Order: sequence, then C-alpha cells, then structure tokens
Amino acid sequence: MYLVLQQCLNGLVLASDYTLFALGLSVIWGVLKVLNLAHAELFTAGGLVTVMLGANTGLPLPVIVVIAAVAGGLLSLLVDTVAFWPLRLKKLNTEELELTSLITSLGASTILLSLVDRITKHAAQPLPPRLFTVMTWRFGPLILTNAQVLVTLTALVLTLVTWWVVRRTQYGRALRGLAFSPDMARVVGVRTEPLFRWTLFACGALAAIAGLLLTILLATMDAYSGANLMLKGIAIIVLAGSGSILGLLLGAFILGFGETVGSLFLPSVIESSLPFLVILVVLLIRPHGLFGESESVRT
Amino acid sequence: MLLEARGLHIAFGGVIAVDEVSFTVKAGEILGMVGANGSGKTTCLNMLTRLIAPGRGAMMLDGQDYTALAPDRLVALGISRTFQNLRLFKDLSVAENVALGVQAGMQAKGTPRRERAIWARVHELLDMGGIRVHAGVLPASLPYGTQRVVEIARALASSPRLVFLDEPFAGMSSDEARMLSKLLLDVRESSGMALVIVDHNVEVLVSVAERLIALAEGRVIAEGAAAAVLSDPAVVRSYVGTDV
Amino acid sequence: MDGEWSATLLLCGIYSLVAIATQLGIICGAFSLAPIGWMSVGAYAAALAATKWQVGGATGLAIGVLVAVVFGPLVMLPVRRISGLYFALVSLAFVLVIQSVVSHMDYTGRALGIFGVPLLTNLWHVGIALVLVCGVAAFMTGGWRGRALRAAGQDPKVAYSMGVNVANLQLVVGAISAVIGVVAGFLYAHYVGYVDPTQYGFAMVVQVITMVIIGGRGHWMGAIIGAFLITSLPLILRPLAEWRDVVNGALLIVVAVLLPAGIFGVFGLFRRRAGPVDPAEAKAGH
Repeated sequence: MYLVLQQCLNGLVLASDYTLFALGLSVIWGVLKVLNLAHAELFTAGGLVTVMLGANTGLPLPVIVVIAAVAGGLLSLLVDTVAFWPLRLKKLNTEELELTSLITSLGASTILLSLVDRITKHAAQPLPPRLFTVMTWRFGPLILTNAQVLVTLTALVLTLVTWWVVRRTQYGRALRGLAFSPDMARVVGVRTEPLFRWTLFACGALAAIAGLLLTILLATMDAYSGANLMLKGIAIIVLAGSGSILGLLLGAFILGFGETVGSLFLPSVIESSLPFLVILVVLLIRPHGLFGESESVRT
Repeated sequence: MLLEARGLHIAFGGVIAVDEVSFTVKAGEILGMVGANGSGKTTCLNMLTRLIAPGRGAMMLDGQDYTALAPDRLVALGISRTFQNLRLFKDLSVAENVALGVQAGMQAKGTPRRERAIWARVHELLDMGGIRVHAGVLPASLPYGTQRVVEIARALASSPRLVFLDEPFAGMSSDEARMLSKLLLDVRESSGMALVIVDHNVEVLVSVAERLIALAEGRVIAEGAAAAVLSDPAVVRSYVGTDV
Repeated sequence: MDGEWSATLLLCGIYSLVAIATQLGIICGAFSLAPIGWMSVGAYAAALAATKWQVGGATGLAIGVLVAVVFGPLVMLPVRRISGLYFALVSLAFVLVIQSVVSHMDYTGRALGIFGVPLLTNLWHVGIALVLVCGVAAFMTGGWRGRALRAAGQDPKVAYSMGVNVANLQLVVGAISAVIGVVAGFLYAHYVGYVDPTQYGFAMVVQVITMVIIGGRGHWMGAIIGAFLITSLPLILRPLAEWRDVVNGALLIVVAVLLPAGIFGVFGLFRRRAGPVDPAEAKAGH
C-alpha cells in the first residue's frame, strides 16, 4: 500500500515534469501548426546552461534561471529564423506546413543535439552541488524531496500562468485568433510576425526552465535529456489535441502515473510503450485529440 | 431518361441542406441549375456524384440505380464532374491532369491503357480546348479561366454521357465565358453528352441551357424553359438582393 | 574493390530499399514511417530463422514476407481517416511499439537482441534486390498507374471522382512497401550478423526521412539518390565525418526550404510532363 502511495507521489512529480516539457511544445503546435522537434534541444540547453554556469561561475541559482530562460528563448528564435520563418513566407497550406516544418525542425534538432553532445563530451554532466542542496522529508515510509516539491509547484504555477495568458489576456486572444487563421488575424489588425516571435521566445524560455528543473531533480543532465522526453511530449499533445491545457495535464498524468503506479501492475512491455500506445489509440479513435475541436472540411 | 433523381434529401447536423429534390435529365440535354448561395446546388451535385451519400432518395442513370455505388465507380457509368473551387492536381501537369480523365474512360470501356493511345487522346482534347501550348506546365501557373478549361477538358476526357459542371463560368471574363459556352455547345453537338451546369451567371447559363431548374433552401421551386423559370415569382423572390 | 567502399555501397543499397518503400507511401499520400518497423520484422525473422527456428534463410524470408503482405495493408488502413502529420505519427508509433515489444520479450533476446545470424549478404544479393525493387517502383509509379497514384496522393476526393480507387491503391502500396521493408531488414541482419532493438528505432526513422527528403520527395529515384548521398557522405567528405549529423541536419533544412522537390527535383524539371511529342511537330519547332 505504501508502495502505491509512494508511486503516486512519484507519478505526480513525473507528470509535472512532462507537463513542463509539453507546455511550450503544445502552444507552438497550436499557434504555428508546427511540431517542433527542436523543442527537446531547447529543453536540454536549459540543463546545459545550468550545469556550465554552475561549474564555471559563482552565479546564484535565481540568476542562472533567468539566464537559462533567456538563452532558451533566444535559441528558440534562432531555430525559428532558420527553420520556420522561411516556411511562413511561403504561405503553404496547413498540411504542407505541418509536414515541411516537421522536417526542418528535425534538421534543427539533429544539429543542436549533435552540438550539445560535443559540448558535453558525450557524457552525463553532474549538477554542481553548490547550486542546490537536496533535503529529504519523511512521512512515515513516504519519501519526498525539496527538488520534487520545487518541480511540482513550478509546473503548477507555469501551467496556470500559461492558461491565464492564453485564455484571459489580450495577447492570448490575438494568439488564439492567430492559431485559427493567420490571414484572418491579420485582417483584424493583429501584427502576426511579432506575435509569432514572442510566442516562440516564451516557449523556448519555458523549455529551458523545464530542462533546468529536470537537471535539479535528477542532479545530472546529458545531450539526450530532452530527446528522451520528445515522444512523451508528442503523445501528450496528440492526446490533448491542439490548444487544450486541461487535455495536456490529463495526458501528462496518464503517462506519469502509467510509468510509476502502472509499473506495479502493468507488464513492462505495456509500460514502456505507453506513449506510443497512447498516440496510436487516440489518433485511431479521435484523430483530433480527446479535447481538440474537429475541423469540418468542405468539398 | 438519362438521369433521374428521386427525392434526394440530406441534412447536416439538423440543418436540411437538400430537401426532396427530384428532377430528370434527358440524353444530350443541357440543364441549368440556378439558386442563391446556400440553396443546395453544390450539395445536390455532391450527392449526384456520390461524393456524399444521400440521406434519402435514389439516383438512376439510364434506369440503373447508382445510389449505393462508390464514387470511383461512377466514371464507368459515364458520369464526370468539375468542382466549384478548381480542384486540379497541382503537382501534375495540365496534360497529366487530362490524361487521368482519358485513362479513366479507357478503363471504363475496357480498352487497354497504353501510353501512346492515352497521349494521343490527351492532345486531341487539349487542341479542342485551345490549351495545347500549356500541356507541360503545372496548372497553378495558368490564369484562372484557363485552369477552368483544363478542369473541364479533364471531365470530358473520359467520354462521359453526363457531366456535372459546378460554376464553370465563375471568375471568367465575358469573352472567356462566351468561348467556353461555345465550346460546351460544340462538345454536346459532337458527342451527344448531357450537361448539368450550376452557375450564378444566369445570363451565360441561359445562352447554353435548354431548361432551367431553380433551387431555394434545398427545394426545387421552379422548373422548365428558361424564360418561364426566371420570371417565376418564387424565383424572383429568392433572388432579390442577389446578382440577377 | 576496397573493403570500406564495398561495405558502404552495400549499405547504400539496403538503405535505398527502405527509402523507396517510404517514398512509395509518400507518393500515394501516406507519409508512413512503417517501413522501418517492417525492416525490424525482416531482421528478426532472419535472426529467429537462423537461431530459434533452425530453418533456412529462405524460409525465414518467406515468413517475414508473408507477415508483411497480411499486415502491411492493415498498418496503412488508418490513412483513410487520418492524413498528413497525424498519420506519420501513427506510423511512427507502430515502429516504436514494435521496438518496445522486441526489447521486452525473452524470445527476441530483449535489449541484447539476437547474435549469430550468419553473414550471408553480399553485394550481389543487395544489387539484385535493388534492381527488382526499382522495377516494382517504376511499374507502380509509371504510366496510368503512376498518375492514379499521384492523383490519390494529392487530392483523394477528386481522384475518386476520376475513377481511382484510392483506398485500394493505398492498401496495395502498404503491402508492397512492407514487403520491401522486410527484405531490407532481412538483408541487413544477414550483413551485420545480429539484431538488436536499437537498430530500428527513432534514429533510423530520422535517417530514412533525411534520405527521402534530400533525395527528392515524390519519385523513387529521389529515394535512391538520397540513400546513396547520406550513406556515403561520411566517406566522401572524410573531414566532415564527425560533423555528420550537423551536415545532415543543415542539408535537411536547406533542401526542405529551398528545394522542396529535393535533389531529384532539380533533374525532374526535364521530365516530359507534356507527354511524348510528335517527331514531326518537334521538327517544326513547336
């Protein structure tokens, strides 16, 4: 019984981690119609910045968080300039854009992954101990660390902030208009290009912060920290459909709990292929995600 | 009767788009279909070409019921169509687009689909439409009116008995429209195929169609000779404020 | 021939097979990564035939092909409801589920895979397979069949109204590309002498996509150009070998943005799109 409770706790932490990873990915998917595979490397970059600044400078953690976020945002803009912006100029239809941008983002991701792999010298990099001291709390047999609490709370706060920005602000309204149809948004006076850029910056920053937090949680990072989460991220946004934050949370929890609590009951084959099974089942049953709105197509 | 539509009916999410529409087309006849936007013309065409399944009703060609046939089987019966918003295959050249129609016709007749025979017929059709010079280019590089002609050539290529044309004159200059109507009359003369033409441009439509059928809110409100249909009070009423 | 070159040539051939299989799907409107999954099926069939079943290689291949013929169309089935990127994701999930299953079953040697596959594959085998597969691809994509296939890929609805049975075509392509994938995997397993789950995962998917896109989307020859280029790049540009992924990634972006039809597209401009022209007419300076 305690094992189940402990695994629930671990599942919650894992789900928070997935949520953080998927947040930016989902927003870009919804707004730009781009499945940004390079998102994984923006995430990894957050961890890399943390480890490097932690080891080579005396900067305190909060400053590093800010630097990592800005670095992630700028890197995201760089990826956009190289991989997505040229495609926006070409005015492709949605299906062509989705496939072509998948390919360019794959290119960007391949390049960044290989660069990070070189910088980290193909090895895992430990988190410098001076940045974060792990404290452990015990509640009977249950174990909880301050890193876990930090990750969970940050995920909660950032999810709420994202939800609030998208649903409740002027910026979010323009963003949703943009997601629906860039042309229409332009007609009603939205300056689309700056909006795209700010969104990309914000999502890059989100990814980097998520990467930083995972590095703190695991006390280590390597070139594949982000890439390993990518398929889970895809599964989550497929499940959520475009633009549903509630769906995103649900997806993250299904995967997180599937891997922790589920590992107690499910055969290991199922547990390890859970993200892919989610993609398969959801797309076969509801092609637009459990929470996505289906588009009607005219002949 | 070549075509007989009996009580076609369909609703989308509770909204009735086409309501008990019945009409007939004789062999070799040109029938015009008029009606304001949203009167159900295109939906009718989509059902008659089986791109959507009718909710109720039956469709027969030469007495053969094809209501339940798959859309790709209609070419074999001798039915082809064009689309309201130009649907040429954008990565196939003009000639290849037309070749698709030709090969479909050959398949229907059971003639072997040899490249040489296909291309000979394609070039014939391109000459007829005066678009031979564009044979090797992609459709998107051509002016709108010319693309229309390509699409019509593709529809005629399978030597059908009945062709549905969805707004063939839309977006054409009056010169282009005149040339197209002459082309359609010539084609009918030489091959004896029947045409059902949906269009907003009533003036051009009357110059080609022998008979008109008017739709409003998914129902047939008038049917008969062009002058009689256009002066029918119900038709006039449904068109008030539109482009007649 | 230099051993390194002949090895590279052999790999070029095997990759060409998978790339062609993927390309056939793309042409008929199904961006399917399933051929990589089928490659894994072929490789495990080879390995199991040689170690567990104790039957000849030919029997192993036959079993793999049989599975592909039956289930290949099944994996293609969702394309009727889901298109574009979503279908690509479904097929990716298929590949990864296979990978996950073989890495968790004792029967398939779990993460370690299976060793002891006899080293049988030589350049001749690969060459013959490639010629045959090119023949099939040329047959499927040439003449009226090819036009129907491309029409189905571009606008299924209109293709239907032009008498093309889109669904059947796609199922046929599903079976053919699955068989090609199985053959490629079979040859590969007999070349490297072992199978393990990591061979046919996301990295391979990326590799094959890169080949198809850079070589040229939409024509089987593009797949071959891409496969040869990407496979031999590290050998041609030795100094670049350690920057291989960076080069691949950059090429991918450049081609996708600037040459949507890939390297083959540059030559594709000279294709006779207008159909054969009368010699007399050509002389008259038409």
